[in-house]
Amino acid sequence: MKNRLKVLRAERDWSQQDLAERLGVSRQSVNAVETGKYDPSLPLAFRIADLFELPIEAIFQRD
Amino acid sequence: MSLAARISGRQPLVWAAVFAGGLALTAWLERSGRIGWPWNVALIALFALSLPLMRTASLNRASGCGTATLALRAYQNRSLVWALSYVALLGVALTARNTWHPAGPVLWLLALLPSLTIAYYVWALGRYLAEEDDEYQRMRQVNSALIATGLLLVVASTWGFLETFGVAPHVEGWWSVAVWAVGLGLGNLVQTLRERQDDAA
Repeated sequence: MKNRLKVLRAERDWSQQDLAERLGVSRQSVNAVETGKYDPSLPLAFRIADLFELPIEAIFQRD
Repeated sequence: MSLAARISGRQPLVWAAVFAGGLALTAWLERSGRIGWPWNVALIALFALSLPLMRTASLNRASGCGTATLALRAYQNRSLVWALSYVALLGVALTARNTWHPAGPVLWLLALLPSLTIAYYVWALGRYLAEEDDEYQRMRQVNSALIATGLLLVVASTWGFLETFGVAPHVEGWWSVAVWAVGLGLGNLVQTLRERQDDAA
């Protein structure tokens, strides 16, 4: 699954650590999701969508 | 650099290797007849001092990677309690057996004493998986446990067949703890190396 996390993060000038703290997960987890190594569960995907105030499909897309 | 900083800067694997090497050395010295009770227990207790250092180094590394979650800290603390109580209860059981030479139910109880701590560790691992809110870290730990279980299955069954065919000596079942622990470390190492490889790509 592709995602726009890196772009969305850069738009807000957030580091991976900033995003991790806002989501309540580890920086390593943010890195894994951002680089596509790990697809988040639906609850985490919704938390990410809520944080960026975007629908899930605007952040995550099929390969 | 201060001694404390140098110690806490070491990799957790170094301390794990010190502990495992210490156990292996003690076993070799005892088997070759160079030492006996109580020096074997004293040596194991000495090498057990590396366990708190391993926990500190592990938490330091986790903090550096941004993975030191509350659940991980609780798990590390419980793992330390497990490791130290395992060494302590093993020492108590061996000392009691060699001092009073008990028989019957008391001997059974002494023999079961160290294995109580293994049950505690299994509980601690279960608690970690239940308490960990970070799903990626949880998946990582589950992967490591699966790798450890797979390694143990292969090693134990292979050795068992070698024993059955009379080409290998008997090995006590409690060595499975050491094999599983090595597998857990290997699992973490493999995943970390894969992550670094992906990051570098």
